Amino acid sequence: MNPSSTFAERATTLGELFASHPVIRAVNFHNTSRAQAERYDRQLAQYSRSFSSVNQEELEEYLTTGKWNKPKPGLIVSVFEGYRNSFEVLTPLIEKYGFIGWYWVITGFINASIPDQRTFAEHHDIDMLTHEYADGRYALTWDELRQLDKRHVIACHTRSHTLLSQLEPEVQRQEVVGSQEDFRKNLGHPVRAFVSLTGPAYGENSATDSLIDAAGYDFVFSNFRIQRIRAKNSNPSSK
Amino acid sequence: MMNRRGALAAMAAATFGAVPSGAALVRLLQSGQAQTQGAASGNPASGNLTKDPVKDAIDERLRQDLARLAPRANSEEGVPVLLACEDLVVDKPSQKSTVTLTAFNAALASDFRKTSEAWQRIHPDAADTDVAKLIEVLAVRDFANGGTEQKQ
Repeated sequence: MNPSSTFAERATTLGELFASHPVIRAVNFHNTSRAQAERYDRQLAQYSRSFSSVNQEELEEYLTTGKWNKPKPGLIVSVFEGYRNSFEVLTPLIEKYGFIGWYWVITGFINASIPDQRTFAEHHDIDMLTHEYADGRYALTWDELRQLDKRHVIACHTRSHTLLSQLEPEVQRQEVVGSQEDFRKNLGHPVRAFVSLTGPAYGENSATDSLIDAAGYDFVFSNFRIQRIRAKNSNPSSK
Repeated sequence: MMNRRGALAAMAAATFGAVPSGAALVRLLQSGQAQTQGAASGNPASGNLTKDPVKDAIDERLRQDLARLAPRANSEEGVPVLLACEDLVVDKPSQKSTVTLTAFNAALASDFRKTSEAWQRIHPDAADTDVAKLIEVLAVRDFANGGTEQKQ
């Protein structure tokens, strides 16, 4: 199969997906340095004029019915990795403009000791063009995550930000199930949504799917889709 | 040095963690410009001028959008995306959803088809991972217009 036909096939598949399923907008943030704060402010201000917040219950309703019950379309504000500046720089802006942040947390980054956090980031595809903290702490703390958890959505982005398909089964278990255990221990409840590095969808890898099931996630996010894989009430471990 | 396919794979990963460099997109654009120049000089093998004003306009808009996105450092930007919502509790994967659809779906599907065709005219060797960037282009347009082109 030549690369062009592969693109065409992928495009055709995705075109059909967008034509036949509800679609929701999202904006993905990663390292939100203070130097860019004014730009984030303008961006979120603009979005707030056109879009409204999305929490997990609203997403579930939209996934199951395709009906959106707010005047403005929903926008999922995704904040990836668990950077400290997502709490200090972006969160005040998310709240200023009435959005709900979806914080996709790499639990190994949070659990890394402060002197090890930059090294952890460098070895786990956690990009940092800007190094703005002289004290060396670049990751969120669990205390900050517990604060965010009161108003926003905390979700799982694995333990180590690695490609799951390349891992041995036990290591993959630690990434998918172990990270959920980290949330249970530190937030007091499991999280409902999961995404892994490069975002393969549920159904693409049966071994990963089994682990996602075992961990009790309700939603799987991937590059082009959000999948509801279980009803909230069918998961006794849900928040 | 990362090869082209690797760079595009990194683009695809942009959504969920591994963030691409603008350099990869610049290489793509340069590739498209070279193909256009080849067509102008009468080399049909690399040409992508369609002689269809509508298609040429779509192609040009795509080139301009890609040029605007190229210098962005996605690791420090808010990157718009569009996500299809599948309810696997009710539906089987890849089946048509049973939920309510809107004009948003039809408009997006139409834009997606036209722009993916343009992408292939500009980049005949496009890898499947380029689709991620294509979706980003459509999302940026939609967000810039406040979602008015494609109502939810």
